[in-house]
Amino acid sequence: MKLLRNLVDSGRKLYHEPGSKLHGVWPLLDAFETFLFTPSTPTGKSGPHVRDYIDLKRTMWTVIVALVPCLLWSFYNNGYQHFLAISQFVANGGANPYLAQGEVGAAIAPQIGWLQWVIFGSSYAPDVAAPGFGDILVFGLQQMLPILFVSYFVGLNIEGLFAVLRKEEISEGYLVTGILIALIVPASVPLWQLALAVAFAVVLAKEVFGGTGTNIFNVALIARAFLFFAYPAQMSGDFVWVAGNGSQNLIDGYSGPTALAAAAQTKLEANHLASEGIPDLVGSAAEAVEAAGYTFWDLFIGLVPGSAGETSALCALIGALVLVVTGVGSWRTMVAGVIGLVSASLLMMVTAGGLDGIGGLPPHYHLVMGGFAFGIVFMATDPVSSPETDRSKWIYGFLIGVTTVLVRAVNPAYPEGVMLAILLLNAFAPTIDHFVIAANIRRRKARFG
Amino acid sequence: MTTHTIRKGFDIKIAGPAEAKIESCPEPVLVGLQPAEFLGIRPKLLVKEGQEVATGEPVLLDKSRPGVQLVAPATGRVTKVVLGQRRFPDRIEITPAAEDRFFDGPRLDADRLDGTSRDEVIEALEGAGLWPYLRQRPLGKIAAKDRVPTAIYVNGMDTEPLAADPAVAVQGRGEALQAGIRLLRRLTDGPVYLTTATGEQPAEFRGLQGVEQHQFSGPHPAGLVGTHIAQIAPLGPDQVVWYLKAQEAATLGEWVISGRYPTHRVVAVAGSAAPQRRYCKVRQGAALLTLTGGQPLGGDLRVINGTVLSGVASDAMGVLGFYAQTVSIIPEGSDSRELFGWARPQFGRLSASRAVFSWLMPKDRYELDARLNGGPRHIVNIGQWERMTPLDIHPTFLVRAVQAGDLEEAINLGLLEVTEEDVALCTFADPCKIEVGQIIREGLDLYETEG
Repeated sequence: MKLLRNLVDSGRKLYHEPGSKLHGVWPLLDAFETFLFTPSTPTGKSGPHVRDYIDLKRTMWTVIVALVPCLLWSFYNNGYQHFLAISQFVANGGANPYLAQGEVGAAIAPQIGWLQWVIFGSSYAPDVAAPGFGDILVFGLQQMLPILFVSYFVGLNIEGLFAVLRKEEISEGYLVTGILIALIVPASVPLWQLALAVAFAVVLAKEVFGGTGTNIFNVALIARAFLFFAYPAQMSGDFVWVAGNGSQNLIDGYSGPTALAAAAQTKLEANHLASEGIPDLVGSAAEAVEAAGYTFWDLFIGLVPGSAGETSALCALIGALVLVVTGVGSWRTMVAGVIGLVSASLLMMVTAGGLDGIGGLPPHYHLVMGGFAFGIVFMATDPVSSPETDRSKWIYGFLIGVTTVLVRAVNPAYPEGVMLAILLLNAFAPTIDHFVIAANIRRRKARFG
Repeated sequence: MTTHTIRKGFDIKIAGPAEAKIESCPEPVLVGLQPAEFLGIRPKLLVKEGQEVATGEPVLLDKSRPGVQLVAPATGRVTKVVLGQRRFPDRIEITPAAEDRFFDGPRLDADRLDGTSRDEVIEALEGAGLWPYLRQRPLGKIAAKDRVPTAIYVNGMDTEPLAADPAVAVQGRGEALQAGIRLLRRLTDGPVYLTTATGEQPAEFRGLQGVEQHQFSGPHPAGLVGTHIAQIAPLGPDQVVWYLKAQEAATLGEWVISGRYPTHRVVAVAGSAAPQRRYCKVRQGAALLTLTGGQPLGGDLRVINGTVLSGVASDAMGVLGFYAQTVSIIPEGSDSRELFGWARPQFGRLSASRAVFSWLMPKDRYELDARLNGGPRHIVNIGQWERMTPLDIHPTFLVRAVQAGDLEEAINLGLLEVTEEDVALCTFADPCKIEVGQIIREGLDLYETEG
């Protein structure tokens, strides 16, 4: 450690003082130095002379720790869904992509991913019906590691570039954004699209506003929204949620609707049947979800297809605990979001007749389906894009919950509502704050009659 | 008597409190005045190097506040005037003689005090060089005599880290304190408040005539006058209140009783790097070396005139500040750097946040050094400022209004209710290491020039 410290101290001489050899890129070197050793910068002469040990690095690190369960779950679940899909595909008469296909001589070689090849060799042929834990994990890592790498590589380089241009220290915000982006995209996302989305989001949603602390919208959600609107084919529908090997999805033709999509189907089918004069026999949305193969507990644990790391309400709950206990995430936003979601979905159940589509879905399903749990815990609580007073956090969280249900139930094309709900409320956050602050000003004036 | 409970805030449990016994310090070999500690002062020197001065003799006056002057705290020769930028006198140094010879300044008749007019009292206080002890809110500067304060606050408590306990500082000075309060009563038509900590009151505070006593409990800033004003009687538009500390009121009283310039103050010497931690009775303006045993302090230390929250770091030749009742000595820590300090749980580091895990195994006192513990960032509001602020203001929005230069909004948001010391905890607890106090002062300066 002493050696490392000496190395860092002598490296510091190369860039720290203006005019030194590498001073032009000091923000990059400073970021590396303070990553290793806390800085010894003294406080000013007029005080306060002592400071809290917390800094933005630790704040962001705390969020990353809170995200670890979701991250680990993404490693497991993406592999699990992959093998589940293949085994169902094979059971229905499809070809196993891990086995050579066709006649001898004209055979299509089996398609094996890069990490599978590295770890298991070229003749890897897993038992798709009963894959081992290693099979599952290796596939999950094989999908997630490149996504994480691309997300961080592109994002951090842009952050570094802007920090050098602005001559200020690199802010740690992207350390969290980088993981968030990786967890809210489908694991099958083409990496070039992801790179574009990251670049778009970091530059246009953050750096043009002045960097971490000054952006209006949650950067990770902007990246997700960019993908959704720019590449809808790769980002929505029933075919994107389970990843396969290779550029061509080898389990093409496998339809893995998310639970939300399944629930949304009930309405469409009901209408269809009604138009043919057949009585409505579809059943409730909750039954439709179960019929698609998802029990409530599957949804809670997250053993369902969906975005790479946001399927598990359980993991989000563990993360919420970390954020609330450390005080880094606002419990008010989270609680208000749940209240909003529950009350809106109850209202929807009562007024929408209780049967059709997602509107008929009971609240406890809404809580565990799609990305709501993940979104309200990790993205609605983003301190920069959410409003800042305690009272506005209640309003903001509540409205996110309500809007999530509205988007899910009313929008037939895209049943995942939490992303749009949070982005919408990001836009309204300053307005909510404005009214709360105006009330504060009135109250303070009223003290004197 | 009313009791107020403050819930928001934080006690910085820093190591090295002063032992609650008062010792007499040796007479200093050097005393001095440092005009820069009076915000907004435009000093005009009345003495030259080499000139002899008597105790209580005017040394400089403030051109920006006619009538306000500073006087020599000892008899002796002006040995040096240290000039700083734009010939601003950074320090006027006096080498004291063995005996005090008192300047024949204005005085008040202690027996006829209650019949003395307000103007007479003001003029006498100014002439005696004691006027600067009266400060005002808004602004937190020397009181402007042309406005009658709606109240005067005498602060008998201090919750800043390691701060001198006013109850110790006024020990045995009950009569002087009472005289000081009689004096203050001449300056306002409103009440004189004495604010103290809850619990058993020292004899000097019990039975004081002419004050309305309020007690405060809770974490810092429960002991700040800004908190007291907001709790007892928030400032209305165009209202002004004056404030001073209990010991300062006792000092005024001593001047009334004796008719001579009161030369000595009780000062707490504290902090983990202080050689001896105790209360000292020491001459005002004494070289800080007097308080540290006469030897220059070796090593990587920071000597602070005041507390670690609101004091000012002093150089080796510094003198005791006019307002300082605490001298804090802490390590600079300029060579301390922790490997992956931001990622480790840090069970032994003080923090107001639970993201530093010292809350799992709390200690009574923490060693703190004078490091920023991070790098400056834009505001990322995880609610730390709000958790530190018991006032009904939104510090983040106030700071943004000041940064945007929107004075009207800033005033609406409570700019005039705060000074640096009220937001010092925000600066302490901020993960983004923003100097909140400096921004607030910029806003107050803007108010003075434009408002």
